[in-house]
Amino acid sequence: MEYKNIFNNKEIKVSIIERIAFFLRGAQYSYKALFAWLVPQVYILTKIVSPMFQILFFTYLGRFYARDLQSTYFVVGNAVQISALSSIYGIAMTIASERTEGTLIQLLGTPASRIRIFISRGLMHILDGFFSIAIGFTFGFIFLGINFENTNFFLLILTLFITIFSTSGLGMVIGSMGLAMREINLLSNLAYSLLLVFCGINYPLSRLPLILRGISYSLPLTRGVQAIRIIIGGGVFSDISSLILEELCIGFLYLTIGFIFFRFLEIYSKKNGTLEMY
Amino acid sequence: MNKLLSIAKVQLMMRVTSTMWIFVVIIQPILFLIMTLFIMDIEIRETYTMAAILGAGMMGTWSSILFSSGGDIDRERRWGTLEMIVGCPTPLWYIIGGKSLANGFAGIISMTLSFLTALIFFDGRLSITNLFWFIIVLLLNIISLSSLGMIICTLFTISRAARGLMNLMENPIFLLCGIMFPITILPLWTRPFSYVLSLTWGIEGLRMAVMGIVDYQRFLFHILMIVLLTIVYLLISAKLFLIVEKKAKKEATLGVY
Repeated sequence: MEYKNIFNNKEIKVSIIERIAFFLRGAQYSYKALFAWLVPQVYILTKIVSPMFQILFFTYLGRFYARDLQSTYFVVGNAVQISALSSIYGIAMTIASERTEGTLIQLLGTPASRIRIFISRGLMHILDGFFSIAIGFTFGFIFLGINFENTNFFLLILTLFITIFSTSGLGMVIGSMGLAMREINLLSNLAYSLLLVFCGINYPLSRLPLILRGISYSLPLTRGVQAIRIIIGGGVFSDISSLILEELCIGFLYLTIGFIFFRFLEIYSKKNGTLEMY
Repeated sequence: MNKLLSIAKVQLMMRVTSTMWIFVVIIQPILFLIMTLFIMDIEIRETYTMAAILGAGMMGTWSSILFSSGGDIDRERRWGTLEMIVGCPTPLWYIIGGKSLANGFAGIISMTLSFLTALIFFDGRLSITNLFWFIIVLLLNIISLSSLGMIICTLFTISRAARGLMNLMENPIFLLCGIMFPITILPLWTRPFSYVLSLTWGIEGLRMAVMGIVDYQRFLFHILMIVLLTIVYLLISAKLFLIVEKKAKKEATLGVY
């Protein structure tokens, strides 16, 4: 299958393989160029060591205050939630950095597909988030006693990817908002913390007042983490199918909102000549 | 003293405009308090609400110091004002001391907001048994953490991995100091690390002042430990300042990243 592209006023044919290669290259370059935590020391401290302490802190907090919940509850919840470092901070940083690094004008000046540009910003962070969770689970398995004996690993990996994808949708909304405002750090911090409070990471949703549970179910991660706990406990596909389907829908919803905002900002700022203004 | 207060005032005015500062001093302690109270079994919530409030308040203090003091010299460097600060007649450690103190006193905002959150949303019955000692220990905690902030400030000036170190030093300190729970539930080998952090003694002192001081000797020992550790932090930071200042002037790399 071939598509036509215009280059230097000439039509050139681009195969689907080349299009995929463009997409992957875009994902790789944007990750390398715009993700400020990629310096090895910063990456290790921020993405590996610090999240382990988050897992430890909440596990001990739970052991002391929540005698009705087992340590595994906290380890699994936090090990999954730390992927938001990639899917919220990472993606938001990558999208919003186009403006701060001065590349937004060039990027939006190209005829490249906007949806491809937008989605490619998230791909590497989804893989990175999966890597964070893998480290978190390994840490939990070695030091905090998570038991994977009854776990269907294929189902676990599938659910993890869906959950990270869905959280990435929120990251893309924040990243798009970061193109219009300066408060990207505040928004990312706030989103990361709100996921901890509302998504049943450290306590069952039944402990939240009814009105707050509505917020929980409108956020990504809530159903995903529920499904992951079920899978680790020995659950099968039929136990979690509705949860992961809903999680996937939430992810697409946030992704669509993020893309609409991204396009709106592009069209509005091109019309008003305010592309690099806050 | 006037200089110190003036530096602290300017620092506070500037930090208030930072969204990161707003997050760590105002939003994060409230969210951590809410989370801790939801984690608690309902039947023990009343007993431990005050402990959670104190923990959340001190979290705000530590985060304010960590993220503000940690970046103070770096910010001056980026703004191009570091050379002027080092060259002015007021010693550098005095300027950084004033800044750290302002960062520490911001913790009073976190503590107040934590009290208000518990009072409004969790119907907490809050009382402080020894208000006098509570204020004394709170002030000592703030001064002590500010002096620790001065060490962090100089160390982060030397290291390029400052941002990573900043992120790294939040949760481990919460954990080791037993900011939300007693350190006795942590493995025994972690105890020496906890004991060299004044916040470990400080948070326990605050809990005693709030719940009621049963053993005054033990309470005074906690205060003594905070004071001793603060002196040690100040001595270390003074030494580090001399090293950094001398190194920067000798190598002429003050404004260089």
